[in-house]
Amino acid sequence: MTRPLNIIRMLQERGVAVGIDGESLAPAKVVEGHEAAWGGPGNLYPIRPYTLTPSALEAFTVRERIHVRIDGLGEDVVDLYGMAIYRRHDPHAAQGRELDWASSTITAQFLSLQVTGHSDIFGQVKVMNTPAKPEGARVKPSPSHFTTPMPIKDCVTAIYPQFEVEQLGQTVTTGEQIVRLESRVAMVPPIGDVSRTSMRYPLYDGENRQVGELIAADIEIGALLHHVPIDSAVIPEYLAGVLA
Amino acid sequence: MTTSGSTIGTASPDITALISQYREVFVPAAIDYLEEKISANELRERWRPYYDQTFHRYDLSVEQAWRQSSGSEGRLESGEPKADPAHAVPLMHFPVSIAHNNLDRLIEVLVAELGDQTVAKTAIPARKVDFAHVVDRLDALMASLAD
Repeated sequence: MTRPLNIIRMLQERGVAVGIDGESLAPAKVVEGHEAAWGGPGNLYPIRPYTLTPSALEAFTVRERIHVRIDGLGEDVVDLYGMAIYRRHDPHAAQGRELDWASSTITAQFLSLQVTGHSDIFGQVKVMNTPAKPEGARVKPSPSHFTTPMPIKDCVTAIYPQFEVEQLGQTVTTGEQIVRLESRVAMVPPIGDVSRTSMRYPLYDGENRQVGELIAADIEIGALLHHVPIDSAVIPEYLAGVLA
Repeated sequence: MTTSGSTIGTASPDITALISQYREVFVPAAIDYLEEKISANELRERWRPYYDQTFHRYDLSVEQAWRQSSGSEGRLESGEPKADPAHAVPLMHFPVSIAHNNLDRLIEVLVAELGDQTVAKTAIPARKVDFAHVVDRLDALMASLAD
């Protein structure tokens, strides 16, 4: 029998890496991918990995962990739960190739993100997207440093989040700066995907004054709640720049 | 059979070879990182050969196992796959692929924040905790499949 190493316990017994216990984040939790993506009988039956599927409307459960600083209130890590809806377009073949998983590009229009949670510092926090602005996701062939095509593809989600902060009494945004969350996926819809930001974003109030900062955001895609095939979905012109 | 543009000979994902390399090559690097002995850049340097080569071979074999069990060529297909026991092997191994790919992105954002610095300088300690838990859980998942 192959026994797990249990690295965390080993480090704790050595008295190093203090605070790596998940309890140090409480009430927020570790971001390690939705439970369904770690296996278990039947958990991944609804998926079709390494395969292109026609355009569709899809809704997912979403968990988002944000690390935010708000001037005058403080800094906190907040867990938020809710759902997201995408309109996924028809996949595009690479130039000179047939449609296949490895070489094609898949795009989607972000229709809705609604997640809520609680912070002892901020009170109730609600994060939503901005439907009036171009927001979407793009899945493209694997990173160029690989010498052979990988089954995985790079995924970038680009949104303009709005943060409704109870104790601040108003909603703050990243202004005109789009927030990019990136990940690697081996299927679409990306059940189990964890996408993460790689930079900080200033947060502005309604009068365009900086009032804080989005330090980090990490998103777990969970269960596929709804899947409706649609006859065709073309990329609106105003969205094309975001998905290019 | 062609898989992601390359031809490979076997469809049996070799989890034993993968976990062996994971423990030999990557886990010591992960421990060094958590013990603040190496920088995020050094962590990535020790992760890359494992991810790009050892894991890549394994990942291709998981993909091939899926293609063989489902008859899929990765082209446009509609609807959900049937809940067929024939898919059990690739679907058992697929979580290992998902976890590796999520771990690759996590290492990338650790590098984006810290570069040549160790995790002692992090302003995002939650991702240090994520890293420790994902490394541990991935080891446990592979160990369960290796039996």
